[in-house]
Amino acid sequence: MTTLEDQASAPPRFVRADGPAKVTGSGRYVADLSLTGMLFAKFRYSGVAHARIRKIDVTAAKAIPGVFAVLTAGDVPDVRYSPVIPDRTLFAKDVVRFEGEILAAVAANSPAVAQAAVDAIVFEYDELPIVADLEAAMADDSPLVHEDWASYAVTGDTPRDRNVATFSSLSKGDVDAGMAEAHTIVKSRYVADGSHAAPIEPRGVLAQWEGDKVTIWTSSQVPFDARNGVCETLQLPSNRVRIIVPHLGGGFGGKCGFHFEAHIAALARATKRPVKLVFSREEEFLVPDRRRESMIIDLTTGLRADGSIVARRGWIAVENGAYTADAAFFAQLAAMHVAGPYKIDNVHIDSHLVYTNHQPSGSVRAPTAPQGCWACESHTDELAAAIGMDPVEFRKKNGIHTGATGVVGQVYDEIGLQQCIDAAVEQIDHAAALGEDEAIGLAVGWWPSFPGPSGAYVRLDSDGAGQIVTGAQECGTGAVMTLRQLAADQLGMDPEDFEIIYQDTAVAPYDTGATGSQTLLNNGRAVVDAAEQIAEQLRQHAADHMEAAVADIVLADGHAHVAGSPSKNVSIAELAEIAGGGELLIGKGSGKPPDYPEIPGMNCVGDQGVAAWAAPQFSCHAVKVRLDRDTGVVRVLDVACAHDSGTIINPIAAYGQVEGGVLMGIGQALTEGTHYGEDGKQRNGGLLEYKLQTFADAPRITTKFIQIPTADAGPRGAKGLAEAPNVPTAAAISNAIAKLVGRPVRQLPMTAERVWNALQEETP
Amino acid sequence: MQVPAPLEYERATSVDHAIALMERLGDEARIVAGGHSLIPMMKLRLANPEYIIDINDLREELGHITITDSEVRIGALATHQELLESKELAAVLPIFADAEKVIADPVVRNRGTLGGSLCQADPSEDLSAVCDALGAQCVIRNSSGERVIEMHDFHQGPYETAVADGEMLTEVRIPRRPNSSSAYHKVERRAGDWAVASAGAAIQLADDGTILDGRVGLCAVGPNLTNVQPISDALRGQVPSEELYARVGEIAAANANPATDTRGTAAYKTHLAKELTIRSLRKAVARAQGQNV
Ligand SMILES: Cc1cc2nc3c(=O)[nH]c(=O)nc-3n(C[C@H](O)[C@H](O)[C@H](O)COP(=O)(O)OP(=O)(O)OC[C@H]3O[C@@H](n4cnc5c(N)ncnc54)[C@H](O)[C@@H]3O)c2cc1C
Repeated sequence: MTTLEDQASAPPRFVRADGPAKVTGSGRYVADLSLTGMLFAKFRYSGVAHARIRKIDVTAAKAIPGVFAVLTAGDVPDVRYSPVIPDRTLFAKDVVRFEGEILAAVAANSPAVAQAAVDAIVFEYDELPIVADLEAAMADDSPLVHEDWASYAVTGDTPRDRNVATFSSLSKGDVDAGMAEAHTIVKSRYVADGSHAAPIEPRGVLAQWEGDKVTIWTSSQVPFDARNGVCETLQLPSNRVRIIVPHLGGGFGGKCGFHFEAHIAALARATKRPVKLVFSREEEFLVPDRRRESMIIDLTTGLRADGSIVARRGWIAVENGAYTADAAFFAQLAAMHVAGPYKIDNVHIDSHLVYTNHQPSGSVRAPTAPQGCWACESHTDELAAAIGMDPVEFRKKNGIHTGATGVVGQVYDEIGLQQCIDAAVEQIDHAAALGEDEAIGLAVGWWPSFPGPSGAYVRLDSDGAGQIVTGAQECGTGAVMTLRQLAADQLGMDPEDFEIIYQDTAVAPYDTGATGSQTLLNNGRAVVDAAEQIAEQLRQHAADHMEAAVADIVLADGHAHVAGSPSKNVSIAELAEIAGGGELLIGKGSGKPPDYPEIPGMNCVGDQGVAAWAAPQFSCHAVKVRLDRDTGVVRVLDVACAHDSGTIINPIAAYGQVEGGVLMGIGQALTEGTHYGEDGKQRNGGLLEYKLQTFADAPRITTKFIQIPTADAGPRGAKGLAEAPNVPTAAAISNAIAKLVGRPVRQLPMTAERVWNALQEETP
Repeated sequence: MQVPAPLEYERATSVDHAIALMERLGDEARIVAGGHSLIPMMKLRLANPEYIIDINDLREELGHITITDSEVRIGALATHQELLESKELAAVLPIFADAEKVIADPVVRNRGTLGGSLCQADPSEDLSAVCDALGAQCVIRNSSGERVIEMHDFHQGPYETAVADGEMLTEVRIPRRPNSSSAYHKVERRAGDWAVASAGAAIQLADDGTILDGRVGLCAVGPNLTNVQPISDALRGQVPSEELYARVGEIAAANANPATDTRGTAAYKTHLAKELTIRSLRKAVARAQGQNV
C-alpha cells in the first residue's frame, strides 16, 4: 500500500515528457497552428431549442467579400451517424432539436468576416414545443424530440419507445418477495442537474486536403473515433483521412467521440484551402454533444432486521438530450451505479435514456457514476440511519468482497472494496477532531475496466535511443507518458531513453483513445508486448556477443549481463549498434485483451455491455465538511481517498488523477450544474456563471492505493484509474451534509441555497 | 464574438493630459485602469469605445493610500492588492481587508483598481458597498477643477455614476471617526467569485457605548442600495445587542430588491442580506469596542 507520505519520501521515478512544454508555453495546441492560405471557420447555430426549419438562406452570407464557402445540409452526404442509435446529421435538416445545432458552416479570410457571414444567414422557423422535463418527456402525450425515432437504424439490444431512446433493466431474484420479508423499507428520490466537462482548451480543428487525402489536426481524445466519424459522414476510406492531435488541453470526456472534424474537412474541400475552427468558451459550453447527463433516481430498499439488504427497486431517467452521441449505454450503466457495489439478492432497476431539447449528453469522466453513486450512497446512509446502524459498519456488512455475488450475479475475484473502506476511515480519522458544525461523510464507488484492442510499435535505433509509436492519446492524465516506463522496465533501460510518437492515426496502430480509463490497461499491454519482442532480440545479440546462453541474459541498468555475473556485460547501446547493421530492433505489440466475465443467468433487458465488469475498480472517499447554518455554505475541509485500481505503475500520475477527480467531484457536489431557461437554453453557459472549483477552494486530499493483484487486468495487474476518483466524492459530501442538516439534500449540485432550503424544512 | 471592435489607444502622461484627451474625444473615449471590467465588456461588445485612454502611468498622482489623523485618502489607481496588503489601512478601516480577501483572485487584484471598481458601478461590486458603508466622498476632476460628492450621490443607477464626459474620479476620501470600526461579510459560490450577496457595516460608538452613527452597504441585492437611511436611523442612539442587529437585518432585507438569477433566488438573497448585515454589524461593533475579531 502506498501512501502520500511514501510518495513524498520516495524520489519521483520520472518527470512526464510533455510537462515542460505545457508549463513553459512551448507546447503547441490546435489553435496555435497555422498553414499558408488558411481560412477561418464559424458555425451558424440554431439558437432555438426546438423548431421546424422553414428556410435557411445563405445568399447574403455568400455575397460578403472574403467569404469562400457556406455549407449546409445539402452540401454533404445525407448520413445519419452515432454509434448504436444513429440519430444525428452534420447539419440540421428539417428540424432543430437544441440551441447549439449547426445550421451552416462558413469559411472566410478572417474570423471577423466569417462571423459577419454567419450573422447574415437568414433562418426562418416555426417553433415546436420544448421537451425539457424528463418525466413529462416519458408521458404518452409528450411532444416527440424525434418524430422519426422508429425509423433510425439502431443496432444491438436496444429497446426504445418515443422519447425513450433506450431502455435497460437489471433484474435478479424476486423483489416483491424480498420487500415482503423486509423489516424496514426506505424510499427516496434524488434529482441531479446536468453539468459540463469544461476542459481548459476550447477545441480547435484544422483541415487540409492534398489530392484526395485530408489531414485534420483536432483537439480530440479519441483520434481513431474522430477519423471513423469523418469517414462515415463524408464517405471516405480510412486511409484517406489522417487525424493528428497536437497537445490536448484536457478533455474530461468532453472531447471523446466525433465532433466537428467533418464540417471543417468539408469546408476545406469546398474552398481548396486549409480551414481552421477555434471555439469560443461559450461554444465549448453550448455546442459539443458531450455533457454530463441530468438524472432522476427513485430508490426503494428493504432491510432485514440485522441490517442486511434484502431487496432494492429502482427507477431511473437519464437525460439523453437532443441526440444520442455515445450515450446508448448510459441507462444500463446508471442502473449499475444506483444498484451499487452491494450484495443484494433481489434487485430490479428500470432505467431510461430520455430525449429532451437540450444539449446532447455524452461520456464525461465516469458517465452516470457520480450522480448514480450520489443517489445510491445518500440512500445508503438513510438506510443505515433507519435501523440505527453506523454507516461504515453498514457498508462493510453489505458491501461486496472477494468471492461475493453482486447485483447482476457477477462473482468477484480478488477485490479491495472492504480494504478501501478501512483505509478511507483510517485516514479521515487522522484529520483533526471535529469542530462545531463539522461532520464526516463517506461513500463507496465502483467503476469497470474496459479491455479492448490496442496497438503500439517500439523500436531501438542504432545509437540505442528508443521510440514508442502508439495509437494512444494523452488527454492530460499522464497515461501515455507512463508508457515510457513500461517499455524501459521491459528492456532494462531508463524512461528517458524513450521518446513517444503519439496521436497520429496515419502513423500508429489503432487505440480506442483517452476514454474509459483504458490507455494504460490496453495500450500498456501493447507496449509491453512490443518491447518484449525487442528484449528477445537484444538477449539473442547479447548471448552471441558474450557467448552465453540466451536464457541466462538479464537486461538491467542499460546493459545486458549474464545472470549471476553482472560484470560480464555489454551495453544495450552497443547491442543496438550491432543490430543497426543487420536485422533492426523493431517490436509491434497488441496482445489479446482480457476477456469480459461471463455471468450465467444474468437478466438484463437492453444489455449494452456494461453490466458484467472486467477488472472492476473500487473506491471509498471520506470527507470532512463544515456547514454555515445561516447561509447554507458548505466548505470541504478534508478528503481521504482509498482506491483499488490494481497495481499502481506511476505513482505521481496516479495521485494526480485522484486529486483532480476529487476537485471535479467537489464542483459537481456544490457549485456546478447547468441552469436552463423556459426557452430550453442554457443560462450559465460560460465560466462567469458556471462555477468550477479553483485551487483556492481545494481541501487537503490524502490518498491510499489498495494494490491487489488482479487477474485479467492490464500490465502488472493495473486496472484503470482516471475516472474512478470522480465517482464517490459528491456522495461522500452529501452524507456529511446530511449529518449536519438532519436530512439529505436531494438535489445535485447541493448549492448553498439548496442546503439552506433543506435546513428550513421541518423535521417530520 | 469574443474580440473587441477596433479602437485607438493612448497612454496618459498626467491627470491633466487624461482629462484634456477626454474633453477632446467626448463620449467616444473611455479610461482604462486595471481593465478587468472594461475589457470583458468590450469583448462582449457591451462597451464599444473608439478611444481608450490608459491611466496606468499615473500611479504617482493616483496610486496613494494616505492616512492622516482626520481622514483616509485613497487614489483611484490604488489596486485591490494594495488595499488588501496595507496594514495601516487595515488598522483604521478593517472593512477593506475583509472585502479584498474575498474579491476575485490575484490576477484581478494585481491590476484592478478602486477607481475602476467604483466607476464600473456594477451593483455587485464589493468596493461600492464598502465605500457606501464608510460614507466615503468621491473626488471628481475636470478641466476646470475638482468637486467632491458624497458616495450616495456618486452611483446614479446600475453602471451609471456622477462622473460626466471629460471627467475622472481621482480619489476617495473617508473621514476618520473616533471609537469606530467596520467589517464586511460576503457569500460567494466559490473562492473569488462575485457576491451572491454581501454586506458591510461601519459603526461609531459614543463614550457611553451606544451607537453614535452606523451605516450598512449592501451588494448584489439590487441597484442603488447606497446609504440605506432606515438602517442608520434604526442604529442611532441604540445600545448594541443581538436583538438590534436582528431588527436592522430585517430592515436590510426589506430594502433589498434582488433578482432571481443563476447566483440564487431573490428569496435566498434577501435572507442573505439580513444575515450578512447582522454579521457585519456584530463584527464592526466588537471591533469598535476594541475586540480583536
Ligand atoms: C475574474 C474576475 C473576478 C472578479 N471578482 C470580483 C469580485 O469578487 N468582487 C468585485 O467587487 N469585483 C470583482 N471583479 C471586478 C473587479 O473588481 C473590477 O473589474 C475591477 O476592480 C475594476 O477596476 P479596473 O481598474 O479593472 O477597472 P477598468 O476595467 O479599467 O474600468 C472599469 C470602468 O471604470 C472606468 N474607470 C476606471 N477608472 C476610472 C477613473 N479613475 N475615473 C473614471 N472612470 C474610470 C472605465 O472607463 C470603465 O468604464 C472581478 C473581475 C474579474 C475579471
